[in-house]
Amino acid sequence: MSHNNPFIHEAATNLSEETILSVFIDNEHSRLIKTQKNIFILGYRGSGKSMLLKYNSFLLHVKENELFNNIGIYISCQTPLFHKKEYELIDDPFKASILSEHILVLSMATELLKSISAIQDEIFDKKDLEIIASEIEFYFDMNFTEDQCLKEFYKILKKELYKTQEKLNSAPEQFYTNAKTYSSLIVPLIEILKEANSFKESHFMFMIDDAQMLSEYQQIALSSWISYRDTKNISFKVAITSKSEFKFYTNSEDPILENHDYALLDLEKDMFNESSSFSEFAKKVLEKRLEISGIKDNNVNKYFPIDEKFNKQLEEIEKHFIEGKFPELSNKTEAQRKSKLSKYSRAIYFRLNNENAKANLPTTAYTGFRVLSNLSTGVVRNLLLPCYKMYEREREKSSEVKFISSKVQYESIKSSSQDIWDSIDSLPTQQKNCTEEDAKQLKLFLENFSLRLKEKLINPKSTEKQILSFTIEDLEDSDKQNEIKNMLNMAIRASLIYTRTGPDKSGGRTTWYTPNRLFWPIRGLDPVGQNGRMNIKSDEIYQMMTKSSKTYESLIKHYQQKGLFDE
Amino acid sequence: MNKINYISFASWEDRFRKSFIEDNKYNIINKGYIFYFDSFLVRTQDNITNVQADFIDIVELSFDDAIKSWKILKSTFLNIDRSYKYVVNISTMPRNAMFMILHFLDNSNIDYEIIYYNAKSHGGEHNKVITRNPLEPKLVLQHSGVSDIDKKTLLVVLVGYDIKRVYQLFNYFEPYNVILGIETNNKTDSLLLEEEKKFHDIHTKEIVQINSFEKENISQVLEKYVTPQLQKYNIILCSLGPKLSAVELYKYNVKYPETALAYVSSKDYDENYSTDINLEKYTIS
Repeated sequence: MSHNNPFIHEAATNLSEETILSVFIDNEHSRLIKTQKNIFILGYRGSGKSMLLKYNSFLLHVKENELFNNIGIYISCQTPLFHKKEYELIDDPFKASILSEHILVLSMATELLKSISAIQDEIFDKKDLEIIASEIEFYFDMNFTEDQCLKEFYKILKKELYKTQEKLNSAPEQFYTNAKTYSSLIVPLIEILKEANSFKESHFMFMIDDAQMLSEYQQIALSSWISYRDTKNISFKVAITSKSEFKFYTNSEDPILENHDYALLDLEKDMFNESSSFSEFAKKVLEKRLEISGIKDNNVNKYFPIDEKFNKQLEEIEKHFIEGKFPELSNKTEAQRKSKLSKYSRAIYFRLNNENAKANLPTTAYTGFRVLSNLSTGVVRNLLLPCYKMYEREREKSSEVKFISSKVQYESIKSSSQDIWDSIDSLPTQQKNCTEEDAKQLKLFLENFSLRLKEKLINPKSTEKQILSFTIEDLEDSDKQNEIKNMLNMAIRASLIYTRTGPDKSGGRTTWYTPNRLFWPIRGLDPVGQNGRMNIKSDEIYQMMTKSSKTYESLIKHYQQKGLFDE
Repeated sequence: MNKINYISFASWEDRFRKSFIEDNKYNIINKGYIFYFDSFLVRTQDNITNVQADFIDIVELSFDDAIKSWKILKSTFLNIDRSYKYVVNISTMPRNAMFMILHFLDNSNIDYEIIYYNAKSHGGEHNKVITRNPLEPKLVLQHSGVSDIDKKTLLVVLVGYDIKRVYQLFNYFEPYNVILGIETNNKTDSLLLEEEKKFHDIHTKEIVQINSFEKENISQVLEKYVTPQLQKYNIILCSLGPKLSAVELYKYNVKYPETALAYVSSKDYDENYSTDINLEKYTIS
């Protein structure tokens, strides 16, 4: 990795195969990718979609000497090729769709041939290549020598891609008569490759990354191929940032359906406690990075130690809590308090700090791996970036960084926390259709949400003190739903609020919203969360967007007295 | 006095009206084409009215729809007057419109020269926010390059006042490498250093110094730093600084059509984006 900072975060498309192999932490997602199902992979920017696909691509696995059961061909749509819009100059939508499909299938075919031809000597024998050359001649009228057939065919398709682009640039309105389609190029190409002994039982997966960048025509074409559901030889693994950015219908306008035509893999991780799957995953990610950087002791708890003073204070609190000396659960038995220790110890610390009007921000509480893992709100990029910055700060003091001191940890976290609040003011200059009023409402909402969190911390009687997510009751029935949705969508696009689907009050499913936990340190709140959400009525959401914090604070007291908080 | 044909772009800025008066003073305009964006008509109407004349065609383009604008321009240029050389005043011409207009001028084999008047002052000089409500970055139609699937992306940005726009491009295109051109015009060394620090979060980059107002400076910088990368990268070029730098990128793209020209529009512009006019004009033949 460049820069010698173990936590450098690069887009997966910019990483070498060796780097991906060394840093990627595999989990159960790869097993799903390797099935014959069509899969849509949903995840925010930085959630690991590209890494997952690249890790499962053919060339990486050949190097690991695996069998050729699954041939994963990675295609990135985050390239200038897929940003070209000249096809829109063609008046006839049918002709425009043909040209769009032509570009997509050429990209798929060239990537396929590039991958296979790169190691053809390792996977094919002479007979295989004879068969392939003969089949290429039959299907495509192209005559090559056996040993060069794949490489030459690759060059021809690549040249075709150039010519198409040049034609688009010079005479975009003219119809391209040499257009290829999925049926005329991809299907026969796969059939040809499966004639070879090595690939007779192989399954080919086209792994299309950032598919939201595809044109509307290309998305519809892809949905049409998925709707065929004949996945014996070919399946599609399609990564997108959100469902709203992709056309889930075919060229005959029939929808493609989850669980019927495709499976959905949502990469958002649940963020609750130390034993959560993301926490384990985050630990492995960081320890792997430290290991390959040559750092001898790669234990994350040692590399990001909890502040000693804070640790002692926490131990003291835990002792007194078990003894029932705090109002929290003082009416319960010692055994009951012991069982709730992890949920209450930090909360009591923060309550005591908040109650002390003269106290500074609880800085030392923002140390340790557990805090880092929670601050990331389940997004790998949000885990690596703060670690990167901390490492750089330590490196200013010494070229060898053996661990990250607690001072650097909490100073970095404080600074990043302030930055994320400041970033809200910039949204009107960064996001389409975001006015200053919208940004103001979002900021107000988050400020008032932080007051809700503070109320839970300070109030000894409140339970579930570490809940940092919320659901919205009756949003669809609210006359303010457009304003609320507008605010939420703006925040989601800017990675300020994350969403996942979770249970609702009545046993169904609903959207859970989790503000980026990096908001909380600068407000003196705890970013370490637990499973659970507060259910907030849509009227109150709107109040939180529009009422000043002073007004809302008094509203909270009013709601408390009336028992109107519904959790 | 020279007889010329004339192209300009209507704006609410002082520069539009004052540059038109200036150009009219020293030339005889045989035929003029004033383009404007539909979204900004309310703001620009008065200025358009001031320049209307029998020999001037006022042509509306679509701000939101590049395809529609392209077709309008194509139709305009099919029957464009060819009696005289064109003078293209780019002072208040939005970049996306400018690229298309230059494209059609070249495509029609029309002889032209470009002129540019700077404003007396810009809001961005005083850290004012000039633009809001940005749209997604886009590649210029018919100048979107020829991509090689085996190459990674190099993003070349000639930086202006708005640093956030650089990050918008960086986050949108996810390049492997970045070249940032920072204007040296009227800046001290320490100011330049301060500016470079703002790009700290772009890890893999090269920073080069440019001066849009020095003749041939940009083209020399591009040949020196970008041309050697043509074999290695798919290159995206974007100018966020003075319009003169955008012209140089256009010319570079015409010379090396495998590169892609990009632009970023914003829906909202500060009305006081620029003030008055500096009558010392720049000419590019």
